[in-house]
Amino acid sequence: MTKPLLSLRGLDVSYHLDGDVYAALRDIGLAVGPGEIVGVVGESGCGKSTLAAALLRLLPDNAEIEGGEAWLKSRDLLKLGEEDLRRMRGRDIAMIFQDPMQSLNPTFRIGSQMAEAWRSHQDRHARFADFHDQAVKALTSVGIADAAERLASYPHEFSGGMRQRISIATALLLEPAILVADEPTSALDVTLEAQILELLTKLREEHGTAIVYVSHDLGTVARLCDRVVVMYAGRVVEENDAVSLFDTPAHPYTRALVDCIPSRYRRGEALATIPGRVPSLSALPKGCAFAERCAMTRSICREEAPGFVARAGGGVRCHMHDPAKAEFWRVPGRPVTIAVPPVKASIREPEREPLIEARDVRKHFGGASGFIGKLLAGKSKPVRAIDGITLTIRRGEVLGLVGESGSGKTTLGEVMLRLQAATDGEITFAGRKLGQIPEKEFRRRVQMIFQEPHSSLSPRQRVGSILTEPYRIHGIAPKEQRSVDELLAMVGLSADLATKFPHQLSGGQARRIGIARALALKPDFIVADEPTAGLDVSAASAILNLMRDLQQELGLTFLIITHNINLIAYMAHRIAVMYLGQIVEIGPTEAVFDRPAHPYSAGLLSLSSQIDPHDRTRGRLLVPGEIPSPRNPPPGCRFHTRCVHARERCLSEMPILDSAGDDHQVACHLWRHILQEKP
Amino acid sequence: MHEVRRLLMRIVGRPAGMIGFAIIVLTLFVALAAPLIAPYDPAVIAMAKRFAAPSAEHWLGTDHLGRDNLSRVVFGARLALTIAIPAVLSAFLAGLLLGLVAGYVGGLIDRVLTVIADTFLSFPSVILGLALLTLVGQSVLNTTLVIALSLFPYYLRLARGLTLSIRHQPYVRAERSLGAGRGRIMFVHLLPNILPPLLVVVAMDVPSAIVIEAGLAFLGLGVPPPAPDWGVLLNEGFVNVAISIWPLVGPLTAIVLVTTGFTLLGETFRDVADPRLAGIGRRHGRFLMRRAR
Amino acid sequence: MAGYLLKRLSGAVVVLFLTALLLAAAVHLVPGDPARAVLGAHATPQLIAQVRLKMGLDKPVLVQLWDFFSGLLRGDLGTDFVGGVPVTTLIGQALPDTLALAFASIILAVAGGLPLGIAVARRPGGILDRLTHGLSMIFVSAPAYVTSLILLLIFAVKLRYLPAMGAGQFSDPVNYLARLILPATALAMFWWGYLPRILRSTMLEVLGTQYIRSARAFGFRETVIFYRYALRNAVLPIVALFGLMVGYSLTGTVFAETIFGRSGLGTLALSAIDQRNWPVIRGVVFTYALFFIIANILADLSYRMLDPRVRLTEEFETGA
Repeated sequence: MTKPLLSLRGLDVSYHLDGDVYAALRDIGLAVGPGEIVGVVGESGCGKSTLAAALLRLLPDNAEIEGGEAWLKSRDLLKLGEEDLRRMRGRDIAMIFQDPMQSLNPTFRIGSQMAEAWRSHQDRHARFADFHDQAVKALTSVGIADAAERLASYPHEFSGGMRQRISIATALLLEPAILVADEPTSALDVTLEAQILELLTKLREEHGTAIVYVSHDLGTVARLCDRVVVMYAGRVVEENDAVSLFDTPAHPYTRALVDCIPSRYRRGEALATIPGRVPSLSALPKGCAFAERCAMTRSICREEAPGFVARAGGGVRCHMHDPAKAEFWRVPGRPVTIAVPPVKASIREPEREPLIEARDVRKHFGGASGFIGKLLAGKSKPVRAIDGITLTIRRGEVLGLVGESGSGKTTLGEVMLRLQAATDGEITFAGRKLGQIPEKEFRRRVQMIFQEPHSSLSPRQRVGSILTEPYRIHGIAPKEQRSVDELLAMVGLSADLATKFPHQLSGGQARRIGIARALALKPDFIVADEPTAGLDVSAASAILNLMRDLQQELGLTFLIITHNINLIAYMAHRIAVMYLGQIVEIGPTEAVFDRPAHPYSAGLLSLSSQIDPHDRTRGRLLVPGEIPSPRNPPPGCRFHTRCVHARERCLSEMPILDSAGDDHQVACHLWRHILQEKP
Repeated sequence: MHEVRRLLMRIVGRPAGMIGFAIIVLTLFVALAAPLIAPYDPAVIAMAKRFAAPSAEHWLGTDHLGRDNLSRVVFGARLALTIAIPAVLSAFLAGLLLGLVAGYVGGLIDRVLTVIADTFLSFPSVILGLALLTLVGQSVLNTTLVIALSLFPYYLRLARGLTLSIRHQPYVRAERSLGAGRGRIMFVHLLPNILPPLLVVVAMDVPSAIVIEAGLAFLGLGVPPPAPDWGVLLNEGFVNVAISIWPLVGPLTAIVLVTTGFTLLGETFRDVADPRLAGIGRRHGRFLMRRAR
Repeated sequence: MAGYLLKRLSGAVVVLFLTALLLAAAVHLVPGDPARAVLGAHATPQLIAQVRLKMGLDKPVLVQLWDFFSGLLRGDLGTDFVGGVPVTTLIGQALPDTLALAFASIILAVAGGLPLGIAVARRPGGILDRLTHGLSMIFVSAPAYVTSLILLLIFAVKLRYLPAMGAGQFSDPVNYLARLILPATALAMFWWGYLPRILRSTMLEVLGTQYIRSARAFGFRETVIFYRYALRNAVLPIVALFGLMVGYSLTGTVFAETIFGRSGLGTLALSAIDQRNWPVIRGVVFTYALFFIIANILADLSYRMLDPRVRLTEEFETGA
């Protein structure tokens, strides 16, 4: 590497809270070369966002930088005076943040905000006309049409993806040497994520901007970055170039992170999990912080904190790779806790009998309500959240439903469970029409696992009471109840959790409680809405293992709603792809993955972040633009506004589901043509 | 119970909370033990000693009928609390229940209740009190009812707003999907969650009730004389202000002290009981940064 | 916006109608003989008969309500029992003094409270913040009659600096304004305590938001961030308080007028209460409610005009 542009050494940051000191960062070193993209990965609480903020000294008041230096353009960012630092922020080192919805001031036009950023680095004689030209250029280059007019728009008039583009355009205006991006795509759908990643790559290519890319998502990091730094409990545990790091992870933590990720190549296998939790930063152990969760732990790990062992391309903070400590690994360690059974277990196939069927189901939300609303209703159209869905789920089947946000997938799940009334169409459950099943009986036989692990548990109930809530609601006789201990054991939790409140649980524990509650009544059918959302990869993999085991053991029927395609690829028998309230493709998981027939599913599947070597070489099909409003769906094929193949016919004629193979259907006029076109 | 004690310790741990707590305990004590504390019977007239300046016998002097100012203020505390606390509590209970129903059930019930609340809210409370007391006549009970009536729409609005803000929370949807009925959701799941913020408001509203009550009496419409009500004392003191200012000193100080005490306590309670923080101890990174703002 | 305006106004009309209905029907809502309710326990039978006739209490209730509402629409609030003067005339005479006082107190409140709040928010935890903290607590807690009485005691009784009693005449503007100082100050004191506190907390909240961090990351000057970027968003919620401010001032005028011997709606109402002059009481109470409702609409509308986010949600909700 040439002389680094940014060189960070020995950074220590602590937080002070209620009299405790939390060691958020210890001895962090990082070097970023000109035009280089460096990824910083780790689970929540490992300190990666603190690191990003510390580079610009944007830490909150209770954080203290206790030591270290950060050299950029022969100045130490950590010791610069306030005014000098301000001048460097934006112009030399800029930052974009995770939540694009909140990083723009809601009461100022975006032009005014960009102008202020620009003016902050100009002298008094700066001319507005200069700014205007540059701003239009910057906005246009990040893909915002009609840039000159859009300068007068307020942030709320843009979507989340667009706002992130505006932040990037603002950075572009100042041409910083380094851009720190803190989870810039975490709040976005895969299609938009891919667009933003494209944009960042373009930024580097056209302006030579170096990027520090902070993310919990190994997939995007693998795709974007040249070099990767892995953090754990406030320290860098491994650093290497991206390809070597993911192909041959050296630190047991990195190894485990990589093995946690579900993919279709791991179908039928248990995923790796990392037992335990990140230790409290206010009471770090004296040895290696990962020792308690590590499969390779030896006595030395608990006694002595490992140093950073330099290796080709970077280094690793682990005794195991320290030649001087090699003797410790000649003796066998404790039993391996990171279990990856090598043999492919059989996948239990669903029965033929259909359990739940939807026929031409629609759900429209009225555009207007109330007296005045109706008075004004002339202008408003209903939101067509679901618009003609026909779907069959067989007993014992796992159906994965994917699509961007706004595609109507959660609404479909709730309509199938009659939590929302369908506007039109018919749903049959176990051979009876939904309208004929009494409410209480239906509620006993179907369950929903809600997206948010914590907030789907009543905050002032104890776990024990939450788990038995279904029995109280349905007045189940005690002898027919499963005990709290039994329910907890089913989801792999210990009995002493019964007296805890939800806020005392980790995300993974809360999710397990949600699953246990859903299982309490032995339901026939479960809708799981984003079952791993909000969980760290290690907790998510444990949940997937659990769901898979329970499904296999009890023969459960699942509808899994998610935007995480890897999860579906790992879990589902069949996959359904939704776009603007309609199913555009449905079929057996293998078939859809191997030969996606609809251009939208082909795009989505190609964009699913994969670090698996099988997938890394596969081309990516960007899906341009954003999903239109379900209030005004495009005529003809709803996807035509974003489809690169669209023709005359697609603009006017709506395609219907057509068989594309065994049990595989697609709604596209051109699917045969597109499949042939592919190499 | 343990939780309540810990909360109280944290409130008292702050200077503002400590002062507020001390003032309120003192007020409650004075109100309860008024006959033991007051040096004289507040009703005994001694025309010979009218408008006496403060002295060893009468620390705050005497009023236009020679009654001991201090004793009247002490007994006034009792009267103030016996009106304010029941008024606030009954307004709170009514507002809580109706607000909960309006917020969760929605529809026509909601619209009717909101419009009723808004109608009452369109009168400033003292003005509403004036009009109503003119018609129903002055008495302790009527004053209490009128104050309750003028406070309850606030609680209704507040309880409704809080209910609306949590009625679509995943845990409420989860309850519905488990098959729980409206009553169960409202009273087992929503109620405990809207209660804490409401209780803060209620604590902070006790002084409002005292202020309205004394204000009405000052205008001659609340508790009628010769009761040693603080508002009555103010009125009598005001009428005779050209002769002696001493009858005013006691009630003025008492009102400011008690209202400040409740405000201090209420604000500290609100700061301490920030629900976002409760029990989150192990999730660091982002949490620490958020907390710091 | 138009949709919202329509919705808001129609809502206000409904509330105003119910307000009037409540006042018109009030005498029938209290238990017992309406005429006796109006006149109190000690009225003579002749007087009661007289009032029953004057108020039309012998007519069916619905007819009475109809009379009241048709009068209201013509701008007629009935006739005073005692002098036989139309209630609207009495209100018209009293209103200017009350409005002058309310207006003056709001101007004083904002002119004093906002700059103080900004100064406090600039250095939270600083000397000014700590100095004003305790004092503001007392200001917030002291009701209008307490502040009025204290000012009266200090400036009028002890120091004799300012003219204390009476409202004065418009024809002598200097004297009129001088007479406004004490009562307006008494009513503004609450806001001198309250506005700095609320501005301090909204400002701290805004300064902690992501978009302020983002602005720092782009190198904005601190003064720009504070005075231009954050202040507007911190003051916005205070705009919504305007309705509350008017309500507080209106209530306060009743006390300030009594204590400082001013003419106005408050003293009009109190003397009417003394005389058991129900039509006047009813009219004055209705006037207060009317102004309060108008102030709340104005506050809501200006808040919505100033905050582009709310504008959008409203448009969305009303389906515009």
